[in-house]
Amino acid sequence: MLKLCCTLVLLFCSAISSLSVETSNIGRVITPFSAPMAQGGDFSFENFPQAKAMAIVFTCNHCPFAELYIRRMNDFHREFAPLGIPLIAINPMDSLLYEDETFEEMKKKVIRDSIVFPYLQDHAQSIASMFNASHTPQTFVIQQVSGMWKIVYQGIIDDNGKFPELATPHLKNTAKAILSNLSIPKDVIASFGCKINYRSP
Amino acid sequence: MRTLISFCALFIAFMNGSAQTFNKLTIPDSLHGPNCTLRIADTFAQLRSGNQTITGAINGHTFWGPTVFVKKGDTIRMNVINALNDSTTLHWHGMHLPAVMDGGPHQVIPPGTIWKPYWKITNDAATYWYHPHLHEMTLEHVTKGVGGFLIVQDDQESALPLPRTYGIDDIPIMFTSRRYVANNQFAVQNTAYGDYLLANGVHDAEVTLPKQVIRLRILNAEIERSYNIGFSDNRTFYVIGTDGGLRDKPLAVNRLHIAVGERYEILIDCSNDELGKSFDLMAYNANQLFGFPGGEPAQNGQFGSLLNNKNFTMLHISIGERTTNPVITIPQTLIPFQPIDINSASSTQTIQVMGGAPNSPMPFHFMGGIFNINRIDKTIPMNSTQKWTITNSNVFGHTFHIHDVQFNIIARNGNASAVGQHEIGWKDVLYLPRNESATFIARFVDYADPLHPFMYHCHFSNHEDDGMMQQFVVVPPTEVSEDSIDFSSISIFPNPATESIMIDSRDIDLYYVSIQNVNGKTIMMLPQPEKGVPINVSALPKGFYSVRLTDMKTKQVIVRSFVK
Repeated sequence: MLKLCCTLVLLFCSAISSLSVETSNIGRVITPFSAPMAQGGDFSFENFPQAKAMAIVFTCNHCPFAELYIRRMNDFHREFAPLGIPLIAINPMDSLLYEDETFEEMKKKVIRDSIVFPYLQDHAQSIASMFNASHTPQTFVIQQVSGMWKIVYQGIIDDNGKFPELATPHLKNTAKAILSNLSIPKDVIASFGCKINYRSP
Repeated sequence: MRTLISFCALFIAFMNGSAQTFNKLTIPDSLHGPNCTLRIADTFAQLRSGNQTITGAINGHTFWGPTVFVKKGDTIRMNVINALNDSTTLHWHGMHLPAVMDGGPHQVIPPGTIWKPYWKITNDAATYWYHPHLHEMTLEHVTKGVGGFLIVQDDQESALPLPRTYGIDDIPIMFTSRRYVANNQFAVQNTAYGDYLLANGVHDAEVTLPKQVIRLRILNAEIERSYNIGFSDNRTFYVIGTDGGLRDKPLAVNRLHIAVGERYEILIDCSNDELGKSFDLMAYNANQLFGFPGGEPAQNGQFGSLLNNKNFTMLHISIGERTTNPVITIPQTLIPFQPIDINSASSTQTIQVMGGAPNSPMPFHFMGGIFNINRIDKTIPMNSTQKWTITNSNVFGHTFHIHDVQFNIIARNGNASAVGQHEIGWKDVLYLPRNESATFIARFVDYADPLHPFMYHCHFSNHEDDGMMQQFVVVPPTEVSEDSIDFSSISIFPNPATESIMIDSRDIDLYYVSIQNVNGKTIMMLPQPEKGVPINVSALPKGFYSVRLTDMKTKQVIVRSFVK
């Protein structure tokens, strides 16, 4: 029992991260990825050949704070995808650990919440690892620079989960800056919400 | 069931503690045993203006959890559901119970799993509490707000003329403080102290108390900070209870030191106060001796705080109308105190605080090594009475907590007369100033279990997470038979199951049962399940389940299965 408990502790305590100073991933090159979509079929970057940039939001089904942002994510996608900045949501949670996070539950969520943006399952957590994502809902923006996709924004969708009318819309501001060819602040906004616990290798 | 007072008042400006605007104190819901369900979940709370703060709480609260009431002599059965994003544990602080039910670092509850401990309440009437205790995660989960009060009632206490109308003249208050970082989120790492005080999860709390004798059950749930409490009008108040029981008679004081993890029950006599009068419960923390937790001068940094080395308001109190049948006098006597006979101690355990010095490579720990979950540090024979002396020849104060037992402090620095009058009684936490020692006596009378240990540790959760914790087992007086057991007769029925399963273990006592789904994930944990009591599986989805059964005597494991 001691050994079992110890193993469990090690398994689930691998990510003790919280609100410490977060490592900046801005400038990191992102290899185009593909993953199954809860809406059906596989997502690939070829789905959005005209994209100037993409908003990448790591989210999940069971996190109450991430849940607050679904409508805002829909609104963003509706507004900015036609302008070349689609929103791609990625679920990196371990579906063995969290029964709410299975692909079947993701499909139900798409219908329940009328989700219009691609909702991908990162089953192997490889996409989250590539971004060094730590929480849901954590937000990145990637942009094509010299033929490579690079992270240009790392932070949050906005700064008020429950009252969007009071929030500073950081993600929208970033999208607008890209569309206006303005510079994007390189400051990282620390993520918070539900930790992404990575499965031990 | 009481209704939670709305958090709407929290939208009132929260201005760095300088505003004289107060928010109504929340009284946690009550939950009455013997059967209780506690669902721990991630949530968020509007604690100050701006963004919501990510918190953890229980049964729909947004910070903290319900107050569980149990009666001495009852067997309490807990259903602890972990709906957090992380594994956690829930420790019943101060309870005397089997180690396997204790909720320490060994009773890890994975996300989505139900843990079902039960035990007979043998503790005396007093204010206990429950909180997470997962090694290296305690600080984070406690900071989130997971926890609650556990109030034991008994016939002796019920016969006394004491206030006991919950939330009216009998007020549980959990004090702690938090530091905020960007977007109103709690600081967790490298933070020994918060900057803003919370009373039951409310900043700048106020309460209207009726014009009569009031009972406050005060819990210090800080990370490190002590409170040197008193009242702004310097009134006398009366200590009536320590961690594990009522005193023999009230102790009149003007100041009371409450360290992390400690609970004190006090009476304040408001019967002669004018209606509308206001005064404050204060922490007189300014100008304490070096080593007093929270006395450091810095206002920021790891050991700094806006509350450090300051006198500050903990609770703003206004006097309201008297209730019907009020208590208006302080009782002269309470519960006769029968301390453990000092001469009955059969051995002495010594604990030495080590490490933690500036630039030291080792964090605070006890001699023998930083915490190792696979190392048993002390073996205590059942039915023994022991003295434990903890020596802190070190740079800072700590609080020492031991699981399983309530103890009597019998000496400080080897001197019986140096024990504070306020700490005479039943305790499970003691404050250990720097360059001092403390000695307590305790009885280890039952619940022998050579496999599952109890903890003793510093109750500063950052120190505990860093390894200032060790573990002991209580062992039976006679050697346990290691004979093999014939498991062939153990069966589970009905199979297939719909509502519940029964385990027919014949004459074999079970130490532990856990149920796994087809993916191998543990979904239910049942320490020492009671014979003949069905296990409710009605909430489980249809499928194939494995049941791991551990024998009490040999700890051998056998696996059975059922289909739902």
